[in-house]
Amino acid sequence: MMKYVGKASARLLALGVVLFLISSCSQNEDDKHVDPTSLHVSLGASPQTLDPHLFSGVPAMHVISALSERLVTLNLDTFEVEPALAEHWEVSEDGLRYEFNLRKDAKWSNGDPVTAQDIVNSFQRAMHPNIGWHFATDFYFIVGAEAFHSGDETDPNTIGVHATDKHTVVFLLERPSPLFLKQLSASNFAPLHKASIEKIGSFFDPATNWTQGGKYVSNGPFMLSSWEINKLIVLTKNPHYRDAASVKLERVLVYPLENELADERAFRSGQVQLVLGGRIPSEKVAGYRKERPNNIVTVNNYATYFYLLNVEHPPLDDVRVRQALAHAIDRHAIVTHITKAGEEVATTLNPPATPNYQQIKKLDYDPELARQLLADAGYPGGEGFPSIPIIYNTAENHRKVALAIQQMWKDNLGIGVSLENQEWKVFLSTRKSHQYAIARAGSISDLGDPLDFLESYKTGHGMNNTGWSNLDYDALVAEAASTIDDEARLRLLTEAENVLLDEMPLIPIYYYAQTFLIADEVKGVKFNALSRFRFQDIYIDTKQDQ
Amino acid sequence: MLSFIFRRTLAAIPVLFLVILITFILVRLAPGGPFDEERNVPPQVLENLNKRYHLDDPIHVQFFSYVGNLLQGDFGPSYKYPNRTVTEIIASGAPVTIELGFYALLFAIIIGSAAGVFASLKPNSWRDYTPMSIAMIGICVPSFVMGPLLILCFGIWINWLPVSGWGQNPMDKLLPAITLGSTYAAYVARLTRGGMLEVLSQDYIRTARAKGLPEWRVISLHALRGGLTPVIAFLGPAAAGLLSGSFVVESIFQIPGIGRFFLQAAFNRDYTMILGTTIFFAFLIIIFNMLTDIIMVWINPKLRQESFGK
Repeated sequence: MMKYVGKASARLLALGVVLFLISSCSQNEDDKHVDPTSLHVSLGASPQTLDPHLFSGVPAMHVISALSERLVTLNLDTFEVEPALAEHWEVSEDGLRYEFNLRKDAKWSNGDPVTAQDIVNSFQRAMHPNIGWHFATDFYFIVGAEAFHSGDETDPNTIGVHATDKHTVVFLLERPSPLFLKQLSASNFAPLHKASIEKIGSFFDPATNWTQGGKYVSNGPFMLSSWEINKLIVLTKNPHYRDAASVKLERVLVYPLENELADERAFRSGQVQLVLGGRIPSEKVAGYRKERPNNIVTVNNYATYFYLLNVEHPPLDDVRVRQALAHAIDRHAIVTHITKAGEEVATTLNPPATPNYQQIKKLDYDPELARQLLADAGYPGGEGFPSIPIIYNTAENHRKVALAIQQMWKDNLGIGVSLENQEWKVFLSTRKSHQYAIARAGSISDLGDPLDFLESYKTGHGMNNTGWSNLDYDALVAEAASTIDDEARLRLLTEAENVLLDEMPLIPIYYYAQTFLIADEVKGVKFNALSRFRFQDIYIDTKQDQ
Repeated sequence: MLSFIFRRTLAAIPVLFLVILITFILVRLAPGGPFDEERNVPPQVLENLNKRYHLDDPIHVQFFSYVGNLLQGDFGPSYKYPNRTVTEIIASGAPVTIELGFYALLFAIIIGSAAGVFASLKPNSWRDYTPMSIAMIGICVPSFVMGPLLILCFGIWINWLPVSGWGQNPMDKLLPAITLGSTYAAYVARLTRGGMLEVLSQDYIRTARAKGLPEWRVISLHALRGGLTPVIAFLGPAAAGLLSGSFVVESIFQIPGIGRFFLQAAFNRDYTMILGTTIFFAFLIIIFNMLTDIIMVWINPKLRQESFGK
């Protein structure tokens, strides 16, 4: 009898397991059925905050850009400024006064109208010393911004940003700033809804936890329904958005996937339909291109991979040595055999993507010239050249590039360099304290303007860890930074970049390319050099699924 | 028994304090700080940030104010997740890690003890060698190999199970639990086999068989109870290991558990988060070791006498 009961229960158990498996498998099948109103997307690792003044990193930038509408937006082909929240604007002739007229139909996700005062409040918060916005000092050209940010002045209304009526906001500048309009299109300038934040805590306290699902009042095409860190972000269509009729998706589900392997696996198994992190394991790229060419997209970015040279570190204090090193790198071999994602050889610091920016001087691969320069510097055939290290942050790609360059310098110049990898924060601190000879670096611009890159190598700038200082260069960049006329400005920048390439405190290696994965049914994604995406234009075409 | 628990709790306090002190000093010795970015933060901004988080105070002041807050249950603000506190983040991640650890332990016990019993019934035959060889492989294959392998087989080739996520699909907990539990299942299998072999040669088992009891009753009612004793001793360290070792599995399967925060915090130099997660894990390990000791004493009369001096 006992035996019989045992067998029967074992059978029942087995049956139960089978039924469970079947039911869960069929559920899995249901999931794969494409929902025409939802997009499943990976943007990279989980954002740490969705606060426009505190976030860092690309994934948060994308989410904030989907949640908000800034005064202006950038045309993704021409990088020109176009109207968004502001219907039109006027800039005074001297470039010191910007007047924006807001759309009267713009609303927050709670139905409140978006007013000029909202823009004023948001900028006051950005400049508040408590907030600790990393880019605050870049906006010291706005009247009163520096005094308020440094704490000399405590009244935020002394900042030159005013609402002259409900729909008009005026910015007053101390000096003209050619990139100002473009900067206003960035996620940092997403307007904030002060009243709803104050329900949770102080508007000027960065610890106020208002960036939660259901509490985040936004004015863009989407709103934040839920956000579980490291798990899932759900954006739903904002019914109060002024142009809600043109937003096709009802929901965007953002999966925070930490690395490129997870991204690719999630795409291959059908869990996500779009991978916008820009990273696919390089060994997978060729396979996708061959077998699923419609699902892989490579875009050349406004971003450059280069080596910083510490000009205080002998023998790199000799410009001829720096030039010799630069001319002895076969960049073509690096992009074709190592990085392989479609990167382009970098012959300048700025990628050739800006319309009207003509960079004349170019960096060529010329081993003969390199040897000559090195000999002139007193190291014929590399004789007597001390061994110096290349440092890079620990990553397979950086290691491979460094190995190749090490070999090229050995073959072409007869010099030996050592390689040293460092953990990211250690690496940053080494670079910052100039305790290196040669260090890997990368720059990306979401404005697509040469000024963005060139400003970084002014004397004492936070990116210029080379010890290099050139007063002519500083003067040229400073002049360009306050020249409104675009043609004259770009001419000045060309001149500045020529100085930089002559002096060579950095060696451009390649312009980055990003690789994205996109399922057949996902349409309306406009890939672009600035890696900005407009989620309101994306839609799902279910016919493609058949 | 109560005084034994009380003594063990008292002994845990200096251990925890030392963990806090050493971690506090070590994280500050590591190069780089929480606010370091690719572009150097302007000095004015850095000064404000340091002031806000009291990083400009002398280090002993920082330490004692941290411990003071800790005693009130406040782990402080996270430097990297500026809108959230460490307490909030631990509260969101801990249940996930504990749930994952629980499933993994369940898997380890069920599969491990079944395999161990099976192997012990016909020692030194193929029925012994096969599960024990598999167990040996299970011990040797690390989770960062096992995880991707399982994903490849079940997630991509036959596409039955989700490759990442947690709680979005009823099946997405299966692969992580197996990955995390497999090493422990292998240990459990070997321990069970050893325990069973010892018990099966005892006189009372022979008596049970002589009484004509069916074999399955001899095994499940008489032998298993004694045979599993080594496994019970192993459960405490296993539970602690499962929780604190889950970060690899959490990373592979993109699970929002506390292990991932632990790892990211170290890379980010998020001082308060490193401390918070370390204290949390240290606390769990101490608790589990204490529980094991208590259970061991409780089931083993010989130890009970020694511990309580009866």
